Amino acid sequence: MTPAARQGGRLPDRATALAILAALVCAAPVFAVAWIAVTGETGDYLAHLARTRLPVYLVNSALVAAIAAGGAGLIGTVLGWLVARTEFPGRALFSWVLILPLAVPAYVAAYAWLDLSQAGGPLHAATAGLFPTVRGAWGAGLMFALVLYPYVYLLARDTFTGQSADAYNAARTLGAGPFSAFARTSLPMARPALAAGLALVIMESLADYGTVSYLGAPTLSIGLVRAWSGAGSLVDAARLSLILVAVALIVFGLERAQRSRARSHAASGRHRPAPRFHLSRTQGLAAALACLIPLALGLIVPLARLGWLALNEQPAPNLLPASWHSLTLAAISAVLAAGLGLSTAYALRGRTFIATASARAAGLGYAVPGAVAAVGVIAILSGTQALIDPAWQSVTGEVFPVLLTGAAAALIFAYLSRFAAAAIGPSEAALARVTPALDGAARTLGATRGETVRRVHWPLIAAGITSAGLLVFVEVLKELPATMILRPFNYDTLAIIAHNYASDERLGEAALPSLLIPLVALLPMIFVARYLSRARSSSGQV
Amino acid sequence: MNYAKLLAAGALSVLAAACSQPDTAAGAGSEQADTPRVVNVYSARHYRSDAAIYAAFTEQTGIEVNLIEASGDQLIERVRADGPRSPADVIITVDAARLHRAEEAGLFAQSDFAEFTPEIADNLIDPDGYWIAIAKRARVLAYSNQRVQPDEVTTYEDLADPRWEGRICVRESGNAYNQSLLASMVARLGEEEAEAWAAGIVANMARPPQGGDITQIIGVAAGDCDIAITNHYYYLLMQNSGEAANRAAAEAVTLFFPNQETSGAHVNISGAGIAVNAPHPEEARELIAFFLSDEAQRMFAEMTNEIPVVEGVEWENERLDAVMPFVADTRNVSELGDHNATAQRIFDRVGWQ
Amino acid sequence: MTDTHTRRGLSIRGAQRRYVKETAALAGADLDLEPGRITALLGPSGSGKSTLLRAIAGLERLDGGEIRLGDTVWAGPGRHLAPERRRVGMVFQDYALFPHLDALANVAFGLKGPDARTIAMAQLEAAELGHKAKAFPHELSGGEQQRVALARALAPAPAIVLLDEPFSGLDRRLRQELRERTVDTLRRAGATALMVTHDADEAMAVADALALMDQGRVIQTGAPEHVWTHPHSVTAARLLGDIEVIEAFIKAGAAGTPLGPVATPDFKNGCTVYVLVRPQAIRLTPSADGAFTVTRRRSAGTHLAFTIANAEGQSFTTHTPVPSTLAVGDRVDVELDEAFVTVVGA
Repeated sequence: MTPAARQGGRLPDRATALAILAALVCAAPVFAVAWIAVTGETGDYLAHLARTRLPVYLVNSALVAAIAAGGAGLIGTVLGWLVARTEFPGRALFSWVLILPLAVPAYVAAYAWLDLSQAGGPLHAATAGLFPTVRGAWGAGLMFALVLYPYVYLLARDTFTGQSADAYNAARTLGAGPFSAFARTSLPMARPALAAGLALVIMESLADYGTVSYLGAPTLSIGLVRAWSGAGSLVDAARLSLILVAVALIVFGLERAQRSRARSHAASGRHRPAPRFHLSRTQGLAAALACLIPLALGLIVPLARLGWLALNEQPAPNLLPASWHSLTLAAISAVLAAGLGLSTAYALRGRTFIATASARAAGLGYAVPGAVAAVGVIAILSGTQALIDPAWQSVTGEVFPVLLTGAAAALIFAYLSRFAAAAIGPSEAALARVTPALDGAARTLGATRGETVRRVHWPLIAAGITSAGLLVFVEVLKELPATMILRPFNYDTLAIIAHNYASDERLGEAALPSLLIPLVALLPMIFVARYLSRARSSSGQV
Repeated sequence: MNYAKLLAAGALSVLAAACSQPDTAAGAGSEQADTPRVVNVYSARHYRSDAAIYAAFTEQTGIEVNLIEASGDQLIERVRADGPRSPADVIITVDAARLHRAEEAGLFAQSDFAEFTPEIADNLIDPDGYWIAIAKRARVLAYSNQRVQPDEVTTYEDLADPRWEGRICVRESGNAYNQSLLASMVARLGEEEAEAWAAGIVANMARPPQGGDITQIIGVAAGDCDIAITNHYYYLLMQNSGEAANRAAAEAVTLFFPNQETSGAHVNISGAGIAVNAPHPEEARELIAFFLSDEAQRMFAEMTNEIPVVEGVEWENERLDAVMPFVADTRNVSELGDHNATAQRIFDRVGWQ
Repeated sequence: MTDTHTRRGLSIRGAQRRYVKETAALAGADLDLEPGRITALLGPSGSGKSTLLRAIAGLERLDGGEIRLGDTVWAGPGRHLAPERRRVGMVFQDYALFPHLDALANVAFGLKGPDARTIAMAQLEAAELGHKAKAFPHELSGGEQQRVALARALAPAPAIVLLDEPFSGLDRRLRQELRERTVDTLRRAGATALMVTHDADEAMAVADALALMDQGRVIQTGAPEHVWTHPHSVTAARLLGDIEVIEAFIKAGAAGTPLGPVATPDFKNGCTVYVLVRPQAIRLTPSADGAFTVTRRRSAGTHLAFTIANAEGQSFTTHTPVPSTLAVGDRVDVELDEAFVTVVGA
């Protein structure tokens, strides 16, 4: 039995307990939503929905998720492997630029593409109507694939970089050609990381509202908003969101069950950094092209279209303070989320039931559409307020000074609760590469637990944890519903300004804030890319 | 190590941010002479031009405006959850149904709005005095100059006729304005007939709903369909757009106010009310009074192409002039809220996406 | 079992491989592998052994030279046969077992057809690991992993078996055990094998033929004892064990060394040569007026290592079989057993 499994029976120590607590706090809003769903009054709207639109919602949700996952999986895996294991012109630049489409809110891409491809739009005219209009479940799925593939790409890249080349080479000597060896060894070994990335893609596309609403893909999240906004029943909306949560649980449960006892990394823990394949000239150009296409479709084309429209409009005012707000919120959340992801990943190593349960629960916040998740956050905060106020009053005789829902900290709480999954998944995948043998080696050499983490684990998992932080950074930059409702007075972010214009179909004016979002995202990306390449070269990895 | 410092910095910033709230719940202290007067506004309007209106208000009265903009339902949720501690003074929505919901949730205080201005139609004020309209928008039709004769277009009801099959562009049913339109049909014609109408529209759609109102107008201009249902100000916006393609599309399309001989064009409102737990009720009244003043009403007309609710206001907006005056539906807009849930169910049943 | 008709030898001529920033990893290596024999490739780190191994496997391309199996050219000018087309089996340094497959699936990986699992199972049984067929690599001990890796490499009946330091990372007893098993397995399979190692004792214990490599070249090949007793160069000598290198000048057909003269029939008078003396070559006899004094005495289990020094301060290490009564401070006479002495040019 491996040492990690042997630890299974122990009570969690202090650090683990803290991590579990943090995870549970993040899970609280989802529980609040579940509470609302379960304790709210029963109406017949859901029954009515089941008779009318529910099948359509379910089918469309499945379609959108499948297309998004398929597209993002293909793009992310192929490009992740190319960047990690081969050498071709521009590879170093592409390595981190390929993450950028994540900073384009999906609905911005949707607005731009519909504008371009609709009847009366430039692409339609230029191709005499041959270019299909980006719409419906296919259009939405495609948009998600194009802006969400970086989830898979990032995790694939990190995992392929860390994979020992010998397994692939062994497969070659055993008679497998390049594709066969990749498919039978590298790919299955990368499976946990890829699955984590795909899980994020699926959850985000299912929880999205703006894109599917605009492109006309009636998914469950649309039904959810209609129940709330149209039928006036927040309780039914909460119930529908529980369906999404259930879907998330099933998908992950299946994935985990399938993994069984197989591992994804070599048993011996020693690994030889894989030398890169140098591609031939034509192969190299093809690889560069393969990198360029998703970038063009997901990033360059939509932003260029908006930029073009912006030429005829006034620039939006107040972008500078909004940029600052976006940046600070995202940075704080990213750091905290990285810490959360790391500590939860460590807690998960102990394989105790409560650690696993809290981590999964924390990740569920991602599956709930943002507007409903925000309601959950409000419920938790106001519930806490309702507890604090009378207690404070009776102790001090004064009114408790802070209104919890009005503080910027409420936003951070909302972000962490929503995006815990984006931090925990990659951290887990990263930590899986640290074998228990390394721990033992460090401890017998006299390192304390903290030192072991710092000196032995960190260099190995730096890439993964930093990726986790980066993902959350970008997510917070894009985030809309929770930000809108929980922000303090007079507090705009780039996403809010962009959305206000876009939803009013003033795309030209939405252009500048939309462009600024990936621009602001560039800053930490460059920093992270530099930091990681330094860390990698100093730890001897190629 | 860098990360430890970053984490510490992050934690400190969070603390700082958390403790730095603007003085929104000043409570009893706000009446002191040295504290600047504020009014806390929760608005579902998201027009950047509103900033000018608030600025004008501040200039006139010296009251600072603290603003949160979010969707109507979200605002309602937040004010509800905050309960007696809610800092909201004024709640503004962009459609009647949300206004109705806020009223049902008990978020509004009763006020005598009629004393603010006599020149406002009765159907634009809540009969129980919880809210008042501050601007109007009409949901009307835009038809192709080429493919539709002016005398073909008469009423909303007529659009369900089979001769319009494959010729209608309209956005998704979840949009609040579509919901209010159907709600008004329910109020006027009863649920059964309204459902038949909705089913007829669905049968006549040229393509599944996609995009917003402007997308529909562009669709008409491009030939995907012959007639679209849209809010009036989108058309006016396109006429004035910096984008040549939009202007050209507006040229190819005519805006038409239906039901002029019958029930009048469907009108929705952007409305406001004073929060029941408002910490600054006096300032709230002043803001709403300002919204109804000639100055603000004029700004609504000129900046967002909305239709003023106060009669006799003068504005300079040629394009708006071109479509005014028109016969509007005189039913009280609170009915739009009453029937919204029914409208949603009808949409579900007829499969209007 | 290796088919008899594939018992062709591997021949490598002038293999060259150069990396961008570094000096050549292979600088013209020549090697022949005789069919059915185990060849050990010995050399220090950086000598190019692993590169040569990978070039044979097809995992590296040659920049020059040729690799042929019998008449089939595997690598040559303008030709590079992909690894999956060569019939090589390879055991990697860290075994490279597929972590996501169990032992049986690992062994069966290179097999095709309906009998794959049966054949694989037979291989596992032969390695006495049949009961671990369902175990995953991380559930196996180091030694078990090595045996699975070997079984996996042999299962497709390859023409050449390559082993890259297959026993490193294991404890001494296990190494020996495993070594014997591996040699056994290879012989039973009649495999033509090339084993890379940096451990001289291991190389000599395992090999039918020994090849020494240094700086990208094969500097000597031959039977292990022969290469040990007759190294062709100082480097070769050092690779295989302790050696004393004495620079000497030839006069009157012999090289004069502090240990005595050494006949040098192959060299001209007046040359400078290196006299390579294995510690075993130095015979010590106690003598009251011997030229050398014993300065150190160490036990090495099977022999005693005496260090002797003469009046000029020159000291040498000698190996003497146990038992011996010599003690530190004793004076000794020295005699060279020429069987263990070689002379090479400077």
